[in-house]
Amino acid sequence: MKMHTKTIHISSVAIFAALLVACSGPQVRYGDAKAVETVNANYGSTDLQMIAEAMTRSLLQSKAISGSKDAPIVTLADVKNKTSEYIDTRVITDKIRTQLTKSGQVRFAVSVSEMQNQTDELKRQNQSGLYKSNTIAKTGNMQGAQYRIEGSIASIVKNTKDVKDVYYVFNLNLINNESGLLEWSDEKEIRKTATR
Amino acid sequence: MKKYLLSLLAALTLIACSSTPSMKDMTLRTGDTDSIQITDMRSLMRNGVLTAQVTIQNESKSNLVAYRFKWIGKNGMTVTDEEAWKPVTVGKGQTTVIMGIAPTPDASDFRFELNQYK
Repeated sequence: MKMHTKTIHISSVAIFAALLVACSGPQVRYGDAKAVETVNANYGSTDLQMIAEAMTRSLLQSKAISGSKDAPIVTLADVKNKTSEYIDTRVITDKIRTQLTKSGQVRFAVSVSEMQNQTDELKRQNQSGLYKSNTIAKTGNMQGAQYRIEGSIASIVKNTKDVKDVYYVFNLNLINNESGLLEWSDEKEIRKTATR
Repeated sequence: MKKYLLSLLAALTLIACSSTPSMKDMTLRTGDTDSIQITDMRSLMRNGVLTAQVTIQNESKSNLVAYRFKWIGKNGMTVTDEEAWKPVTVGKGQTTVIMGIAPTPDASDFRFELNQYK
């Protein structure tokens, strides 16, 4: 009789412990945003970071930026996604813009996609009649950008039964708005291979 | 007199040599990166911005390694946020040259970081 109760006690404790572990569910942990990501061979965070950093550093060395006395005014134009994947190219150019602004060497003007907010704010200040006239940001005083940044990203994907090889090439250009000349151009190549 | 001068000279050279950090001191390693050797490190001020160049050689089996630079300005303070880790492929016996450009003109020194990635 004693053995029976003992085994019942032990087994019930064991079952309880097993239930606790099973019902604890999946764990959530914060990772390193800068770490290399190798989940699959598609476009990932490491590719975005590598591209943005390479383009920023190269642009800072260009004659148009480093050679000018005052920080030149630049605006962001379109980066075409010529790959078959969904890539948000706006994130790449926003990252480049943030890094360039932090360096203090370049000034940015609002881009086409942000113009609506800019005109709304100006309209509000000038036409609503609510603001003191000497504190209003007047229309007609916006500074035009001297240069614009545009580019494209393309990829070549090759698949076999065992291997998937993806090659990206990101191309970025700095164009003088007035003369239409290409002042700077650079590209970044990335290759990722996934083996099954 | 000669002995005194000789020891003074030795002390001076020691001081001079200790002021510039060695390549080993300028490299921070995390993870298993023992197969990668740093063979050369140099830097230059180009267009007002610090440019660093590190030559690495893979001596044994190719491990997956990633690198990044840490840019240091006045008073040994880091100039910007941590950079992203950049993976580099080095075959066995291969030497590759890694170049880094500082993000701001404030950077006057750099450190080279190596890490292993899965």
